Amino acid sequence: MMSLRSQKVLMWWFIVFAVLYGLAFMFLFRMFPPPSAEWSPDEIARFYQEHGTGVRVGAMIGVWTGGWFVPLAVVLAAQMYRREKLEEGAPVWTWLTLIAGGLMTVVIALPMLFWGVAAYAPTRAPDVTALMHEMGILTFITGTQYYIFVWVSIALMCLLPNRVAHWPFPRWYGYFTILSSVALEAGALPFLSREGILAWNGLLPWWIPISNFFVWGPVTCFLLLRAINAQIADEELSTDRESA
Amino acid sequence: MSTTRDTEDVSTGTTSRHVPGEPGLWVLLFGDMALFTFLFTFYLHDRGQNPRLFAESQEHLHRTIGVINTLVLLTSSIFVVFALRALRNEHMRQLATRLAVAAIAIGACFIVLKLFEYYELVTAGMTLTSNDFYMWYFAITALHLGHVVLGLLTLTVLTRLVRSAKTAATHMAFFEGGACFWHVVDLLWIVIFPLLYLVR
Repeated sequence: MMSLRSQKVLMWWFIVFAVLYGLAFMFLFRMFPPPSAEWSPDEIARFYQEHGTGVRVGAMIGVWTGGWFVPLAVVLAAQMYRREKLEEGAPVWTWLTLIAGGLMTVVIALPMLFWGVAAYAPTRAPDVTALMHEMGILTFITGTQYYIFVWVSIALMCLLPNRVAHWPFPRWYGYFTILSSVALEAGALPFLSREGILAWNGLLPWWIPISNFFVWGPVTCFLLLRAINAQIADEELSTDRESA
Repeated sequence: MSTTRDTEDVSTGTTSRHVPGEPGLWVLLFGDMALFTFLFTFYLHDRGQNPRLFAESQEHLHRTIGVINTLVLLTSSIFVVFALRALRNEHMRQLATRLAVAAIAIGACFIVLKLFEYYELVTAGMTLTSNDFYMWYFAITALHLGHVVLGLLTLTVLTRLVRSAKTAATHMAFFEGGACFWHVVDLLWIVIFPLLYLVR
């Protein structure tokens, strides 16, 4: 029972932190979408001079909340483990999800740190500020591969036969996860161009993945919480029966 | 190819429509088509801003290879349809496997031709960053090529799955789903080819 209640706590931890992170991203960093990749170093330096306070406050929030993917990955892994422990051998997809959750967090947490560093000394050489600015944006947008480790694990479990009660995800969600993986692979493209559909604020690397994420997030939360609640209800019922 | 089959429920005498593959698969397929539709829409918008540049750049594309590739994918799709029909008959299992392998081999020709086409363009100085048209051309066709590779891998895995004499209904459904994905890949090319190569 404790595991299930703990999973609920982790889910809300993820939700609250992800929302705060997102709000900082949009309103303090003004990175939704990221500014044009064709800005000169002087324009970039001016951005950090004008919005320095907001960026540094955002960096503080980012450091506190940037780990939001970890609790989600743990809950996903816990749900996967319910399935994998029924088979012989190592629960590899569970392990993959855990490791991927940790590594993805690096990519999520670092950008706000980099931008904070850019704003930390607003009068330094513009080229240096531009470097930190670009490192932040490119890290965030191109570093998507670790999500895909998690999503492949989920998709596989959704499409293979299931023997546990209240597996959170219906079969259509497995296919939706495959679609999300395809959409997010485009995140690597901004290295190829500073403008147009391949740029870091372009259709393929930014708008399509982020739109997908805004659907994936709430749907995943709803399905996970629903399943966890159902599992808790099951456990309470069996505990009542045992004590009766 | 019939897109749905009516399966008669013997106990009630009612017919229920069978969704090819399974219903959830169409989340992926429609989602994928929606993604490409966005790309096509924005491509047309950009082309409207710069019609001359797009028309001139289009002239350098290899239309013949494009036509051959269209025929390649259509033929491959037809073989997949035949394979699926053969698969539904227990006695034609071996034929079904051969038809599926043929479909995969034919489909693989698309990759070879596409890479050759890219090679020709790049060595002639036309790359992803040459101008807006080529950015769109390489982006859309490379994304489609990725789907072709994924589709062929899927068909290969699924062909192995249904190879044995005793094929479960779920394996059949998977193969059917893989076939649907392959048809969507074909359908996308049927839109991409005229859009990028022909329409001025």
